[in-house]
Parts: sequence; C-alpha cells; structure tokens
Amino acid sequence: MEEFSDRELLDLFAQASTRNHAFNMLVRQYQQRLYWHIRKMVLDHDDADDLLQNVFIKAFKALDNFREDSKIYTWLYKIATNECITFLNTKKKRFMVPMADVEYQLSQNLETDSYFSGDRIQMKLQQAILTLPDKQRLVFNLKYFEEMKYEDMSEILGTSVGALKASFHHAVKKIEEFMKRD
Amino acid sequence: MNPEETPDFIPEGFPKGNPFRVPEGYFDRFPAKLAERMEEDKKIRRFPFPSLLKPAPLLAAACMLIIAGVFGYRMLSGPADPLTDDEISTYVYQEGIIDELEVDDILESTDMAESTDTTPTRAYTNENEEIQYYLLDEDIDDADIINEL
Repeated sequence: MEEFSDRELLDLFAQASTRNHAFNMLVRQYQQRLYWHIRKMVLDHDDADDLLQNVFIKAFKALDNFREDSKIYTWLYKIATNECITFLNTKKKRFMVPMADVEYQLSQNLETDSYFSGDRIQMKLQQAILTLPDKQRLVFNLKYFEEMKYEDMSEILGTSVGALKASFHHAVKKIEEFMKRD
Repeated sequence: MNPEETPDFIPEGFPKGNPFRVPEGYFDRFPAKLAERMEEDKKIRRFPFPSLLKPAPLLAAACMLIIAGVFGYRMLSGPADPLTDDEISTYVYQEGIIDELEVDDILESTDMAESTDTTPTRAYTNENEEIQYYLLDEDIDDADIINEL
C-alpha cells in the first residue's frame, strides 16, 4: 500500500473534495499499528475494535486543528493510549474491583480467547505483562513488541526518556521474576 | 542488564511475534465499518437531544411521562370542590328523595339488615338510660304507664 507523508495527508484533508479520501488513506495507513497497540493493552478483540473506532473518530474531529508539532503517527498513538487507559480505569471503577482482579480476569479471558494463538510460553509472557502497572505495561509493549524509539514514546506518554528507560528496566525485571516462577 | 537489551528470559530462537489474531479480513473491512459508524454518529448529532437516544435516559423519560400523566389525570378527575353536609341535605329534601326511601332501603344500603351483630348501639343504650332517668325524676310508676297504655 502506498504510504502518504503527513504533509500530503493534511493537505488532502484540508480540501473538502478530498477530505474523505485523505481520511480513508490515514485509516488504512495506521489501522494495523494502532490496533495491535490497543489490543496488547485491552487483550480482547471486540474491545480493541471499539477503541480503534473511537480513536479514528476523535482523530477525524481534531485533524483540522492538528498542529505539526508532532508526527501524525505519535499523535494517533497518544489518542489510542489515552483511550486504553480511560477504558481500563472505567472497567475497574464500573465493576468496583481491585486492579489485581481485573488483571486476573484479563488473564483468564486470554486463556479462552479464540483469537489468541500463542503457545504456553507466549501465554505466560502475556500473563507476566498483565502483572505490571498500566503505564509500565505500555512502556514494555511499545519497546519490546513495537520496538519504538524512546524519543517517540516520550512524546506519546509525556514522560522523559530517562524515566522510560528505567520503567522498561523495572518491567523486564518483574517479568523475568514471574517467568522464573513454577 | 542494559535496559536497551532484549530481556534474557526469552529462550533462544523464541519468536517475538504476535500471539494475537484477528477475524479473517478484519483490516480490509475496518475502514467501511468505521465509515458506517461515523455516519450513524452524524445522524445522532443531528437530533437536538442526542443523550435521549440512549436507552437509559429514554426509559427514564418515558417513566416520568407516565407518572406525570397518571398524576395529572387524578388531579383533573377528582372533586374540585367537595359538597358540604348542608348542601347534600338541602338537595335531598328539595328533590324529594327522602320520601322515596323506605326504611328497608336505608337498612339495605347501610348493610344493617344483613348485620348479625346484636349488640345495641351506643345511641340506643343512651336513649334507654334517658327514659329511665326521666321516669325516676318524674316519679312515674310502671303501673301508671301500663294503665295509660
């Protein structure tokens, strides 16, 4: 698929005649990356699907006011990350359950998820990731699976590069300990 | 361990790949699905009170309307100005209703005819006492009464 630059997309989006086409291109260009980012946070496909739609709807409404201080890619990741955190917090509040229980529930769902094709070790890795606090989980996923640069992560999460490196290091240590158990 | 390194708990040759899957053709269908949802949202935005389209507020609004309707009906159909006892008795005498009524009708309407309660009413008891006191006060003998009858 042909990749459009941010400038090209924004120029096309600015014109009424090519607005929908530009947005369609933007969706096609970023849908997969954003989906996997969301999916690794919420785990369930249907939840990820809903949240991905929310992300693009918000992006559509705000794209006119997008200032090119950042790349569209990091801006979209930022929206997606906020959606995930809001979703997880709402879930915890709605069911009035402690965070550990939500993680346990997510972990249980993973075992019965028909859209999870990982083997035993991959399942254990996901369960280990679930023991991390939300922000540490985000850092680990973005670095380990998506191999994102710390500079881009810093822009998305609003945290310094040094703090992100430390957070990743702690996440790795915790996961290592979890994996060594049993 | 250097934070930039790959964690060493992952066995050699372990695929870092994605363990999750999506339904067949999901990403091909997603742009159309999104466009459909955006169109739906646009329709809802055109309605002046979009929150009323959600089921919970809609149900609450319907309940409020029903309660208000029932309350309003009762208010309108109830007696606006209840009649006083004087007005009722004037009406009864003017219309000659009292002449048409028989004792049996009155008893029947008050269920007294069917009543199995034989206890004298307080008014009746009081009447007897008054007669007795009258007879004692006037010093009238039982024999005098019998003779009079």
